[in-house]
Amino acid sequence: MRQIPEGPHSASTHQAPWWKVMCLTGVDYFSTLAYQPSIAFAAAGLLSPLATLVLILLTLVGALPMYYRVAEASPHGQGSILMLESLFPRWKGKAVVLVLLGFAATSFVITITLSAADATAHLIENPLVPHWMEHPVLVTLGLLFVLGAVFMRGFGEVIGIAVVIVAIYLVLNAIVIAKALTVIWAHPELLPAWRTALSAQHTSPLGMIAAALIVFPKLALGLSGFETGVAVMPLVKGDSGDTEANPAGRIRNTKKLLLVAALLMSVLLMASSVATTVLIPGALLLPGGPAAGRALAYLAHEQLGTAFGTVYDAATVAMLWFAGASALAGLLNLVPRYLPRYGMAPEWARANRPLIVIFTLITFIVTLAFHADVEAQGGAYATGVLVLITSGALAVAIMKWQQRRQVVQYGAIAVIFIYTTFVNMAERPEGLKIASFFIVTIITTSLISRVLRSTELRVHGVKADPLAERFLREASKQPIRIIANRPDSGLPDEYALKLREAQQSHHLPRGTRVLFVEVRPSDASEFSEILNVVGVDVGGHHVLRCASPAIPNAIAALLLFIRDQTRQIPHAYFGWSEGNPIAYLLKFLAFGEGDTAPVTREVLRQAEPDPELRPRIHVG
Amino acid sequence: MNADSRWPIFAIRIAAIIVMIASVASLWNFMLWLPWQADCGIATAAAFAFAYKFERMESR
Repeated sequence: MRQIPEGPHSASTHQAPWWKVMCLTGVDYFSTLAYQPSIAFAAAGLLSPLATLVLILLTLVGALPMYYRVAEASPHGQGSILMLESLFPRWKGKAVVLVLLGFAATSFVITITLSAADATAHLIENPLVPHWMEHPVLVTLGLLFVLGAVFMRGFGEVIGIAVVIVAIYLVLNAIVIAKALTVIWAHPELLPAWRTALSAQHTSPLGMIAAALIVFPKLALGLSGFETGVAVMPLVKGDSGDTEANPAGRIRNTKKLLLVAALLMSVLLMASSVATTVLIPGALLLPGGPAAGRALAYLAHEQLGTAFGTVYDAATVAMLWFAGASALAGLLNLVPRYLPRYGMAPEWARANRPLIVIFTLITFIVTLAFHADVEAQGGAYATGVLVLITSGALAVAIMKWQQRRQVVQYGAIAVIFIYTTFVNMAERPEGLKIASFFIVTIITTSLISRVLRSTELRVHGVKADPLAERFLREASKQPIRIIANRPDSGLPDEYALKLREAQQSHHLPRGTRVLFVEVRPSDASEFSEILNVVGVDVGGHHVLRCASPAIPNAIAALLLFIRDQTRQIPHAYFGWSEGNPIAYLLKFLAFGEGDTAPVTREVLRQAEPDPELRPRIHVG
Repeated sequence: MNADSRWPIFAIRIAAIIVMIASVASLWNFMLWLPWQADCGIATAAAFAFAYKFERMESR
């Protein structure tokens, strides 16, 4: 019987020290520095350092501990999606997973396309770039192609490039911010001037705090990229003593990753906000101004000269282009962990390279659909990122509520993120449209894939208990005849009646030894499984019992198992089901369901190509 | 499978891919045209239909 790899991502994944993986997260998270000071000023004006402080506090006392808990609860990178799936039983859990995967796909795909489009915009704006490159869609497609090509080389190369880009970007930012703070230090009148202007707008400190809290949702995108810290968790190297069940070293190292990323970003955000608010005239930071969307780049050119500014621009372009890398790594981790397990994607979706090709093609389509426009994709980006962070906060809050521990703390964090997400959605509802499209597409393709795969064997191993094995040994002394029985009372009379019916329908000789097979329906949401067969003696009748989500597939797997164990071709006897055959045919075409006997025969036909070796199906 | 029967199957597969791409493009345009409330309704309905369909399979 064909062996399906155990669990998702069975192929070994490249692992690296936490600080290197932090750089992979960092290409997305730290790239926020390119636009965050301008967004903060546009939203909060002179109050932007205080509003940025609120964002930093929420990162350090809200998002950071929340993601610590997510890392502990799902150390293999499934994130909050796994936590929420387990809160809802069976198919409702799967539906929740598909909806969240829709938002995750929105967040990750749009992160890739928006970042590449933003890198293109920065590139084309540079006066040194030749005119023939002024085709945003083509340049963006080229950047996406190169990103996909780097991933095709392997995660080692991806992480290596991320480390170099992040190191250069952080050093350049540190130089720009240090220079700006030196200028502020050298001009002691600047800070009091800012304080005076601020006091003119807000009379009391309480009013300032209230205003900072009100505008906070507009700054929440400063957290974007932080959520990929747990998505890339499987890439984090743990300790030698780590096991699949308890990867304590990986969890500890992921927490270090999250902590250092949050602290670094907090320092950079605070310093850049103060520097840009105090040094750049407000009109230049607002939309349309030369510093809009590129406050630190503006300072780099102003304070350190054109040569340094151009180097800074190049680093920003590289950072924005590669910002999609953490999102692509997140997608490559998430998709193989969910869809193939549910039978909602082909088995090759477990492999990295075909997925990279598919995701790259999807990003091409999205780029063409949006004409590589950064602004047009902004709403979808915010919606996707905030829903993912909120789902994490919600999952942790529910977990803590179930544990009756730290309920208020994590409940408050969840409420803040829910509020922030709703405010952003209300402001830019087009993000919901795109997320809805992704959800509908994922659910539709999942259903189609599931139906197309319904006649696969779906069982990757059969385990029989000692009594079942004894029944098989005894049955193998003569032709093996199996009667499929729908479980009912379980009393001897049921089997005696079924045997009499089978003898009449199939002209079985009296005294023929038969085995009864009973499959009880189990969780239909599990696609493949190991079949555990139990032998039961009911008043002298030998019964093989098992549970499976797909009854015809389980019977087919059991027949193949019996053939392999006994080296005889078993004969299985079924009764026709009541019902219109055309209705069954349509049901089979639409949902992959149908009359048990023909579907069992079809599963066997696909699993065993040689008709001579195929167990026989008799219907009477 | 003989060589003569491969071409119609190949043609059917190409046609299926074209229909699939056209369907996705139509869905995209349709959902962009609808108000966002309707889009959310469709996505929610799809998720519930999905859950209901397989709950029903379990209870058979």
